[in-house]
Amino acid sequence: MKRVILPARDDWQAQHRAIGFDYFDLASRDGSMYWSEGVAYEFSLKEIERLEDASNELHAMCLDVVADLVKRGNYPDYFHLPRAAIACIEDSWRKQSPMLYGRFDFAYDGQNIKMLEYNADTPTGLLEASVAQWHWLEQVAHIPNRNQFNSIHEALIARWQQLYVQGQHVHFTACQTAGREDWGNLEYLMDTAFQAGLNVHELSIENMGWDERNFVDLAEQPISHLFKLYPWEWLWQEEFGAFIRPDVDIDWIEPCWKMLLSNKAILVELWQRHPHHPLLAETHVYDPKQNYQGKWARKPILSREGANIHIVQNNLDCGAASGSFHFAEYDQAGYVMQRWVKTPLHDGMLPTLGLWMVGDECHGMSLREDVFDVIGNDAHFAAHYFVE
Amino acid sequence: MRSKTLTLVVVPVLLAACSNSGRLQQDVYNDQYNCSQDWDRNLCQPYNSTSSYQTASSNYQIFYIGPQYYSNNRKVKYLGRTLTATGSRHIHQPVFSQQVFKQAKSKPIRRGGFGRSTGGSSFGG
Repeated sequence: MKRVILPARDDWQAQHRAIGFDYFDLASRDGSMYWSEGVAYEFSLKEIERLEDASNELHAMCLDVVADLVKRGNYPDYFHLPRAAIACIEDSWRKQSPMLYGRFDFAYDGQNIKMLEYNADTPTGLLEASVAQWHWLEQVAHIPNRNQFNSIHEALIARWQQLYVQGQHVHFTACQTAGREDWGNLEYLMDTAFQAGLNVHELSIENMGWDERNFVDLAEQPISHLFKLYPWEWLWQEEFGAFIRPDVDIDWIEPCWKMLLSNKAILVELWQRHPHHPLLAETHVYDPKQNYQGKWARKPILSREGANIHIVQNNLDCGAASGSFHFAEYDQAGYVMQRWVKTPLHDGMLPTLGLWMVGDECHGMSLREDVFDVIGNDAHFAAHYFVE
Repeated sequence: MRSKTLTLVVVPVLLAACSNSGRLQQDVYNDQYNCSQDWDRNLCQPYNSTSSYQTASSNYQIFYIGPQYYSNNRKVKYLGRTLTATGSRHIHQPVFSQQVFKQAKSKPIRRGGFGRSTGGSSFGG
């Protein structure tokens, strides 16, 4: 794995806009933008194969945890699950409600792969991973025999076709106040569903209705299949959360059992079941009475975009990790302590790898990098390629 | 890992205006005719009016009341279809209630029960 600098493509901004990736220039605090044109990471085929295998192995381990928790019907308190959610988690798992996609975040030093977390409920950064970096690969000059670990687009279309018959109506929703990044992600997923032959409908989550029997759209038509780019734990907290019940006929995408994977408590469960597994970083439930020697990351169990992460070194809270934004919302549940994974910098940048699962298989990779300790909302997207 | 050129189909963004649940209410009418003009005759019931609806000239007037609906969505689900009020023939003050009547012929349609503001931040990760 190495970081390389390449000439910027002509017209690359217009190309991003042409595919709907019009948020490529989201500003970072340092004045730079989200997409790093001209920066790429090179891998060998062997490295890619190891990353792919690691993702598939971890995904299988995660599913085993879900199966075991549901089988025992015993959900540790540190998941902070709303009581009402448990029936839905169990029902969706027992009905084998299928997942669409997810993204692992890995630390990688060229040898060791460590799972940092599983964005199993609301992963974003999809359009740039699937389409924008593929176009980059097709157009970039001076790299003979290049390839990319990326069949995300085709896999998504195939997944929709596997899930639903042609013509099935599927609604897509996100929060009206969410940023362009979220809506771009949502519209891209709608596009893949459309190409799979489904009838797609878009509405903001605020406009969903309830007619005392079904969730309905703006035409008062029942919503039977709903992709939501909106965290499960928030759905449960809100007024309509009372109507999320197994007897209400709606397929949620992602399904409710994904609540167990998108929660960082899954890292604790994995470590307990597979202590010292080479793909895992040691992780425990945060206990303020414990003495934490060495360097640790204290992570909220329910947070996104690297938010609210603190560094704890030799039991001393060193404050927010650099690059970590703060949202009060994320401090309302508990924390886990994950042993710090030291990753070598590349030209002063820390890369984090995103490995994309579509269904139960890994279909691609993306990278974000930053000068900070944590890949937060502000990090930069860099394309990747591999050579044999 | 793949060789095809990707294509994307433009899916227009069609966002409707935001709404909140609003209050659960029923319109009150001077007579059955006006109520049935706004709704469906079968959804109009005689209403035992309180003094606020009585006038000096007709202390024993029978008022009619329409179906329950949410204040920002003047529609109900009735016999499997959506019924939208077609006019505003009701008199001034609606009747508010706390709960949906389980035995009613129609059901109100409620909106705005999901969503929160985060000032444009990403909900994803």
